[in-house]
Amino acid sequence: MGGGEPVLEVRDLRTYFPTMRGTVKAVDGISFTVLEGETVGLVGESGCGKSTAALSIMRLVPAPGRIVGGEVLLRGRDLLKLSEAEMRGVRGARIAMSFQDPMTFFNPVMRIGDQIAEGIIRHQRLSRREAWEKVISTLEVVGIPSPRDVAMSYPHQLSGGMRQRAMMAMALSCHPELMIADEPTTALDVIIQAQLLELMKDLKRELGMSSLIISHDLGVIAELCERVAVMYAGKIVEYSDIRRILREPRHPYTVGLLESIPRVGFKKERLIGIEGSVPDLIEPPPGCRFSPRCKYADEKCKEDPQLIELEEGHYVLCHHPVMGGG
Amino acid sequence: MGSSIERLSLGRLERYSRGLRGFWRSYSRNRPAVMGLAILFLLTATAVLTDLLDPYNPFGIYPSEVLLPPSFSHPFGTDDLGRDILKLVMFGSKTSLLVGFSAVFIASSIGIIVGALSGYYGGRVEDILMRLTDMLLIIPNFFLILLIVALFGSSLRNVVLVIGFMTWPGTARLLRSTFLSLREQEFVQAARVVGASHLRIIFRHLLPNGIYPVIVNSSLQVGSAILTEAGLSFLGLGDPSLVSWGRMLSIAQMYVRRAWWMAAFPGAAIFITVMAFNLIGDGLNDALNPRLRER
Amino acid sequence: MQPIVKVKGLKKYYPVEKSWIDKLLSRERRWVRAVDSIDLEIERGETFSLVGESGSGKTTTGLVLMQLVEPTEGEILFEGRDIFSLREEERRRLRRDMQMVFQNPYASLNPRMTVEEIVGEPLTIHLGLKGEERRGRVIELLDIVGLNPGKYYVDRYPHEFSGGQRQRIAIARAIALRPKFIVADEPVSSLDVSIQATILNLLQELKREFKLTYLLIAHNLAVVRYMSDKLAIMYLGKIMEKGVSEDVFQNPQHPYTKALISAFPDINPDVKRDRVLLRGEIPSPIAPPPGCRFHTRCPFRLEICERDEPMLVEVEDGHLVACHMVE
Ligand SMILES: Nc1ncnc2c1ncn2[C@@H]1O[C@H](COP(=O)(O)OP(=O)(O)OP(=O)(O)O)[C@@H](O)[C@H]1O
Ligand SMILES: Nc1ncnc2c1ncn2[C@@H]1O[C@H](COP(=O)(O)OP(=O)(O)OP(=O)(O)O)[C@@H](O)[C@H]1O
Ligand code: SF4
Ligand code: SF4
Ligand SMILES: [Mg+2]
Ligand SMILES: [Mg+2]
Repeated sequence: MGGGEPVLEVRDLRTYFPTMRGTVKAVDGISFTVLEGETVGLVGESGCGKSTAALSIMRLVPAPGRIVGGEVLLRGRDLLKLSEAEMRGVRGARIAMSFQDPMTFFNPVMRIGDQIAEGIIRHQRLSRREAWEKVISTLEVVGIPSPRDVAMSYPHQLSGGMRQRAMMAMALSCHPELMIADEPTTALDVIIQAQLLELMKDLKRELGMSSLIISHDLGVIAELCERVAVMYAGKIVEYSDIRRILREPRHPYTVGLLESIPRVGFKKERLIGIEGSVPDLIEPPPGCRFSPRCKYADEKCKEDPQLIELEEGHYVLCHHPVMGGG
Repeated sequence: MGSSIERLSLGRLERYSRGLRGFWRSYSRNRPAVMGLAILFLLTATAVLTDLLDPYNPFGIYPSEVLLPPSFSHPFGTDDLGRDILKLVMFGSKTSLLVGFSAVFIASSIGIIVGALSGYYGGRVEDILMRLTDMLLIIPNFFLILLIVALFGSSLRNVVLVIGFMTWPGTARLLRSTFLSLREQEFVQAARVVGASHLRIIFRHLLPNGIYPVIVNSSLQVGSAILTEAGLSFLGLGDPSLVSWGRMLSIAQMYVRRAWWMAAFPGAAIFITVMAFNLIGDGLNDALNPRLRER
Repeated sequence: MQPIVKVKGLKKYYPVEKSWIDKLLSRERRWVRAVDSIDLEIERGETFSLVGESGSGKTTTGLVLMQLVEPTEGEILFEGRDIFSLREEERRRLRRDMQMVFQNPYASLNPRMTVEEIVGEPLTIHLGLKGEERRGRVIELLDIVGLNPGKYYVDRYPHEFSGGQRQRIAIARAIALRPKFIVADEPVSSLDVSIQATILNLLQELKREFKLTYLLIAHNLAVVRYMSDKLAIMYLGKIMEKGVSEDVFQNPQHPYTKALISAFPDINPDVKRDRVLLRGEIPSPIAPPPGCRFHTRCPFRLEICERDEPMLVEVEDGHLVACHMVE
């Protein structure tokens, strides 16, 4: 870790959705980097803006949504300044993404193999036949037992786990520099999830790819990632290497989150949990967005906290970082 | 104690009025639908007022005023018997609305009961009821109505009954399909768990959630019932003791060349009324559809 | 003491819709063997968990217990009485003692009823409460489940609440009649992580306060370990292992249990885990594998496993396992 060059740098990214009720500030000034060969996790609860962040990097934010500020640097080049045509050359080829819901991602009336081949043909200028060969070998890489059959199937004929694997094959097929996986295991049963986690670890070891993994499950992030950014209500509230965050969380939200998670490893007498509910992103609480649920909140928290670096590489967005918590 | 009961009822009332306001906000966004509602108000007012205000017997014969074109004293002209068309059209609105609403009331009542029972119970009950419904849906409605009216006489009551009895299957199907999907929902199971009876589940849980498409549909049906009545009267099968736009049209046929106004005004009245109900249906659809309403 | 709930040889087969080809060839009707002969004993005051992958028959078991579906075969005794031999009247009376919390709080509350009507419904049905009296009780219940002050919430509709709050409302409804036994089907799996713990704690508190017995249905093993006294692991409609929860977690015997426990991603990056990885996916419950149902995925499969079905045998006090390897 450490020494690698940054592959992706996100700086002060903001993506808003104008709606009838007001503007949803789904992503509101987030910054992080993914270094060469590194896996970074983006963790947070439902609706905090994880998918929107990923879609913003791909410049695929759905309709009313708009990227209103910030920079997304892929090896130093700002993707937000590219033309749509140039961006098409980046998507799939240099940054690949797997989506939360594979069923909406695949075209339901096209064979899986054809869909994967399409990208290969477009980005690598191979013939149809060569592309299909590549499809089969990639499906093998992601651990699909009978790749030829799967390539010939339609999306609805596959189980959830197979679909997720096929989507991963599609993402890998063009050797991207960065892979973004949005909730790669959320819809799956634990056993299938474990298969997929092991596959992702193997792929990481073999391909050494840089990736950004999005999940609401800290357990999944802990298994796959070296560094993690914790999101809450459109902002990154804590950002550090995974061990440090799990051992010495400093943001009250991260502390609460860790205290909410029961563990299989040992029996805990009492979980704590965080009272209250996730705030409305149209009118978020003034100042620190976590303040209505935070037990350390005081007058100062009515002002916006700034991201501070507590120790090298450990950033926290809080006026009163917790000492020795967790 | 008293004050808290007051608070309770106030809370309710406020909730209802808030709901109503929300409903109106989304309904009124649909301008044509508002127009439809305005037309309906106008028609209802006319129907009520003609009875109260007008002593003028619409069935009198005024030989000196036969077939006068529209003028200041007879804005819609007069007919072959010298009667004022404007007044006839106004009287006709009463017949149309009466037929439309009563027939749809009957159709909806039967349709709701049949749809609810077959959608809720499924199995045997559903099989039988839906077989019956299908049969009625397949037979060309208008001709059957025609036949029955011709056989049993064409009093207003018969016309209403016959239209009502022939049009409920649409409602039944609609409600059945909503019930089929609703009854699998967890809140229905939850009601069962707390011991709710079948009737309670149907009336307190399913119907409030599934009735909106039926309301929309009924509004469209009023329009089509009015059209059916006009059709019957046009063919001479309406109630002979009432003024009806359909019958006016029928008589007007004989005078089309000499007196266009005899056909034009009742024709326009039918057209506008049916259109009004369609517009209202469309507006209700927007306003009652929760997904559209959120926006 | 007599267990509060005893399930004997329970089976639930759902008919598979016949396709027109089946009809044409007049093929026999096929069945989904959702629950295939299971026995359970739930003692008064404990939390008993059912664990397993999707489709293993957990919910079906809960629904049969709540008499929401009729069993194909088998008996359920509640406080010693066979609930399916009761008359309609007595069955309804039983609803006061047995209640259920559903998985999805977005679907389990009628969107067109106020909280007062939702939570008050059992009070009206069973106790005939109305008006101010019912309202008072509902407010009390809301306070108990942590929606306080209750009077601030009674007149609202479900859509005005967050997922966690809705689940609290559903719990208030379930405890309204002071039941003895509650089936909780995945009560937290559709909630945010930080909210899950608060709902689990609420369930624990209520259990203590009202001396409840729970049947907890969950696929999240961590939740199960946190909550339960005993558990049963289900796979394709059968019980693979059951016993005191801590015994099973500390000393899992069945290969499937081991796989499940090791599959669970834990937030401790320092634990080097040796996963028992399973190949493939759960087979169809329409034609479950012969012999041991788990043999198609079992890394320790023996020859006998494909032929003979293993029986549940006791390996230590009250810890039962169905596997040829441990016999
Ligand atoms: N098309 C849209 N229009 C309006 N608001 C939207 C839209 N898409 C997303 N949002 C809002 O943006 C916020 C962030 O959504 P996003 O999907 O990024 O969250 P997430 O962290 O990925 O959540 P999840 O874990 O549920 O996938 C949410 O509050 C959501 O309501
Ligand atoms: N009404 C039904 N008709 C036909 N098959 C059904 C029905 N309900 C459930 N099944 C089938 O029975 C099996 C067991 O389902 P059940 O819902 O009990 O599983 P579960 O363990 O609760 O799974 P999950 O974790 O997904 O909720 C599944 O294969 C399911 O498809
Ligand atoms: S800034 Fe204040 S309210 Fe926000 S997390 Fe820190 S202590 Fe809590
Ligand atoms: S009986 Fe055989 S196949 Fe089944 S779990 Fe035991 S070893 Fe595996
Ligand atoms: Mg998302
Ligand atoms: Mg289930």
